[in-house]
Amino acid sequence: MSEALAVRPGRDARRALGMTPGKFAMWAFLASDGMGFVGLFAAYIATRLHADWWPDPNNPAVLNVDLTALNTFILVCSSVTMVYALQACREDRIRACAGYLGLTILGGVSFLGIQVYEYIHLAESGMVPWEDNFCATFYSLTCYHGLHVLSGVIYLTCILIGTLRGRYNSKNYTPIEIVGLFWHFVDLVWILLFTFIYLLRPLGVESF
Amino acid sequence: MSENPRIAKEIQKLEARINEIEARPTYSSTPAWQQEVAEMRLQIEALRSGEDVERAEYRRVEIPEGGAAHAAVSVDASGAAVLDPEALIEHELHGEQHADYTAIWFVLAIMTLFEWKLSAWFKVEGLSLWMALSVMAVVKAALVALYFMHLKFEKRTIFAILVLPFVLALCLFFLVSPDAQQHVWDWFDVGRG
Repeated sequence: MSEALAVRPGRDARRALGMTPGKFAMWAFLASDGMGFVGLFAAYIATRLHADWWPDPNNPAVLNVDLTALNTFILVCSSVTMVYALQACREDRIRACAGYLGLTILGGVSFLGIQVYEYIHLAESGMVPWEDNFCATFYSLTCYHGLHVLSGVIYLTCILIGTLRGRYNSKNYTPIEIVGLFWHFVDLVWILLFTFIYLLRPLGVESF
Repeated sequence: MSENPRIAKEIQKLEARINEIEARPTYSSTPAWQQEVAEMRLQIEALRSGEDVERAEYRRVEIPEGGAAHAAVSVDASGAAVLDPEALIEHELHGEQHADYTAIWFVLAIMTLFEWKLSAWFKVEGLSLWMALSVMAVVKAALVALYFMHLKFEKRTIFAILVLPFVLALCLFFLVSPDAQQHVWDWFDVGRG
């Protein structure tokens, strides 16, 4: 028990980096993952500006904007519960931390449920991914994002299990902070997607 | 003894830092900073006894019999001592700095509501709607990044990671823009005609 303990082997590296290696890696991952979204987004913009005709997404026959606004709100709320989870862990309130993580997961699952419901209704009304450019870009962007939400939910579940097993506390909360970074990134991307896909109505072209 | 001026300066620096930490109860009450102070004291002691500065930096901390007497050291189920350097460095770098999350959430929720009902409530149409919505989306995204992802409180090194993808993203948009540009001008011609 009285064996000596090495003090911070990688201390200087961390100082130079300005953060823990895990956090650095997550930021680097998010930077590269963001490029995936940027590629799809650029394709969407080019396709949309190219198009002679684009459906008005605010038209209830096209997209259900009200439902998606609710979905956006859910995702924003789950981001807030995520930061509360981190704060609770930093203050050693582990049960509160687990509760907030659970709420975050619930938010993510609700988001996915509503999105699947939306997809089913769109497909029933004939809006399938191969229908036209609008459908193709809509499905590729939202589905790519939805897969991120799904991986976020799985990732959060793993962290929740760790929290319930008492793995994290005020001295060791970096994994919770890192999963939070991923989750907020997913939220951030959705905020942009919601505006640019669901809310921007066609400019020069008459909507149907 | 510390005849060497370099070592004397080093000791002075460490003592100044200890005083600085102990003058702030918010810091000096946390285990991470207590650990920091304990380490610096060990380092001073080592320097006084003529040890090399670099070696002193990595001096080992003896865990007292029975475990968790040391502030920053916890004991896990198997009885082994656990020191989490990641948490220590986090404390050292960021402390407990964060924004009022509830206020940020409120702003985000209100902005989402306005975005959703902007054209219905305020009869904003066409290009001004695009501009207003885009600005609001970017502001919301920035709020999430700055406050929820703690970008505002990070060290500046983080921007070195983020600048390159941002520049590449802009390049990508500019590369596809010649394709799209002609059509944008066409729209405006249609509008004038």
